[in-house]
Amino acid sequence: MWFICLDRSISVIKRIQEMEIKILSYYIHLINKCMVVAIVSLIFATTSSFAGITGSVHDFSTQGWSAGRICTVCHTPHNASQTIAAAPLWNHKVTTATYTLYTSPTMDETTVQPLGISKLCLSCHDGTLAVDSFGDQTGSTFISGEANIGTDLSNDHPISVSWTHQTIVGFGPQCTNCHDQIGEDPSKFVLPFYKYAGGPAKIECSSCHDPHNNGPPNEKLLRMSNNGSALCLTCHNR
Amino acid sequence: MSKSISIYILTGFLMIAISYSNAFPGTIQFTKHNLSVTGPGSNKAASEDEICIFCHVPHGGRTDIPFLWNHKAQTTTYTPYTSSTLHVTPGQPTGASRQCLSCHDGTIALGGLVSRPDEVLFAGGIRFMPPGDSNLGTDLSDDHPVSFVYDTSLALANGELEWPSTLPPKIKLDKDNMLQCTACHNPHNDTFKKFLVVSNQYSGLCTACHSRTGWTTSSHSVSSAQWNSQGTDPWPDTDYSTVAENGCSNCHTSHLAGSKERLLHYAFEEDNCLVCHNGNVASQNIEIQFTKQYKHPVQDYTNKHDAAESFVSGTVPKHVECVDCHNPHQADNSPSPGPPLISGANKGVSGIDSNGQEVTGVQNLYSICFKCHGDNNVISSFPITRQIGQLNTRLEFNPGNPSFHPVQSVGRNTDVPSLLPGLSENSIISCTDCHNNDETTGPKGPHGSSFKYLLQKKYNTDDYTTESPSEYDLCYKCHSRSSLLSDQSGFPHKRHLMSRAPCSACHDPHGISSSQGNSTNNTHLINFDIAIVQTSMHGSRYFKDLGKFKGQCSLRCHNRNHNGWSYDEFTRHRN
Repeated sequence: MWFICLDRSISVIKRIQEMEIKILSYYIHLINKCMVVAIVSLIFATTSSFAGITGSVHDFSTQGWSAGRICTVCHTPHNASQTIAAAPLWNHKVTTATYTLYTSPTMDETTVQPLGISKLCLSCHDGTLAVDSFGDQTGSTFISGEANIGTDLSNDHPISVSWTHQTIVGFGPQCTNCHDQIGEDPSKFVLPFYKYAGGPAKIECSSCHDPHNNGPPNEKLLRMSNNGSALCLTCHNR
Repeated sequence: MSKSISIYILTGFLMIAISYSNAFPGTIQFTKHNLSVTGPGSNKAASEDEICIFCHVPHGGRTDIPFLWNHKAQTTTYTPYTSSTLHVTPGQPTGASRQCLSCHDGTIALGGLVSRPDEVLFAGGIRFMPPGDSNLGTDLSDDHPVSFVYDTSLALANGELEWPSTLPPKIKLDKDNMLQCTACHNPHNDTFKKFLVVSNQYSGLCTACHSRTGWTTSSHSVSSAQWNSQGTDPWPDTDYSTVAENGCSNCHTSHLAGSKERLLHYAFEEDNCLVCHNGNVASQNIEIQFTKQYKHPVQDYTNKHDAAESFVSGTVPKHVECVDCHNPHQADNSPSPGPPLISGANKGVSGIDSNGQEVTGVQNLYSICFKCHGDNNVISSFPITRQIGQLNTRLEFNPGNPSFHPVQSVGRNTDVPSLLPGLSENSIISCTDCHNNDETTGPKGPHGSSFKYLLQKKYNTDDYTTESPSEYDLCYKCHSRSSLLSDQSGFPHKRHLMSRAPCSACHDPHGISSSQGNSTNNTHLINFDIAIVQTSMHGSRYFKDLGKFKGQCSLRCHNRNHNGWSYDEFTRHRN
């Protein structure tokens, strides 16, 4: 797939004026992106021993209502919620809010109400359910500050939108931004996409954020450092 | 361990690759819109290393405008562009234009971000967009209009716009079909400089929308003339070195225009032309023509000419500008097929036809002159006081007149023995055959002359002028001096000229309007200069046409009474 994508990209390049510069630019860009992946891998390798859920902002074990436990706010080994298909042994109450969606004059995709995995995040982060509403308990501690993004998602990066392969070179990111190998599962990407019942892979909250805090420290649970806007530029080839 | 070393080596190699790729402006990192500390421009953050953050934020940005906007909102009220030839009325900027202006109007700090409680500090203590090309200010009346709907009805109303459906894919309107800054600029890609979406070499960007009639074949579109590096650089803002490559940018600029309406470089209309037409780009020096004593004084008027002006309205203020006679979008160097037809220099100019009706693209050169010297007349006083006074040249040259110089049509007189070879009674001439540059090698046209009435050659109208080839050089251009001095037409021209009466004493060169003169007294362009030709002792002052080469005069001139003196081709003169 990597090679097919590359081959198609090059054939498109050849149709563009200033062909030589474009091709040169393309290869250099390719190398550039490889390097970002390499650096990210390096960062993972060096930081994973320090980061993690323990001590992160998602570690509520010091809160009285958590009974000193970390995982149970979100997960349970038994009798998990079935509300969201394929939710990972879900233990938190699931939001039922209807959201104001992001729109833009230039976006080709149509936004829909958040799906699956993003609704799990929104179950705390839309501010409609208490953080401590999990298991059998209904809590009263609501999220606050910038972590509460509310039900108006019009000023939030769109989620539950499908990624369509771009066919115009210079308009989309390069193959290697996402693919390490042909046929690789998109959920294994550095910034993973999520598939639902055979549909196209979609971007969800956890495409950028790792709720378990396995990314670089002190960066809003991002999956990779956004220094130099590297995370944004992984997808946005601006 | 060896794996770690290889990673470091790979990283080092890729760092080199990255620094090499800095040369390419196709991605935002390498453009001036990278305001982070790594940015290549002079306006950049002191330490902030995120690039996107200066405009976009994934959460918590502005909700009033799209694109996850993170730059603080301006509270400015803008002055939109306006012009008398604009078919839309742009209001306050909307959409993407508003976003651009949140830095480029200079009112919001470059580091003023929604997502940051404190302003991001910039290198050198810069807070706002520094003055210069990138700071458009809040007065947008000197900038290309934005935030208006570009639809088929606009294209129809304008008449010289491409259909919006045919715009190249890289030139995008927004979802409301509005033209915004982003139609021309892609803020993320500086491949074509100034963040243009396509190159504007040969006006590629401008002409994607603007399809001016005649433009593609006009000299300003095709000329390979270059600047000779003397005087003012006509193209300080472009990298192009020929007239054709600069195209629209020869005269127009999209931002911070010197003359707001129509976005010309310079506030004084003629400066936009003369910066090239001074011999430094165009080979002919028109500019120097306007230093002569007699001229069409384009430098005397500013903001009087209006592209929408109507010369039949009676409301056009007195003025003259280059574009009153030339249309820079259509002019070329094709010669006139012959009088009265225009040459390429006057293509596409509006005018007044022989019936006094307005025409948009004149065919006949006199139609251009009639704009200001016809019914709408900028000349208010008579240079010579004649029996019959008429300043309206359209009426003076009317083919129904008892006599007229053959400008609008072939003349009345079928027997003109003085005409030089190449001319005949069936010839037609142009205004510019008399009114023209006095230098034979200089640029053609009535820009300026050292001779009175902006004439090409000397035409002395003073009484008691001693006849010589030079004094009546203009007349002798077409009328044989030797023919006149041998009285070939029956009239004793020699005696009159030797008596130091100027041609103009008897002849009114334009013609005598049929509403004032008649075919008895005003043939042969007879309309006496009454400062020279007095009434006879019997109180009469007339010429009477008695047929071919025959006539009679009663008048007093140089104190000689002509009491019904007549002449014919045989006797020349008889009492």
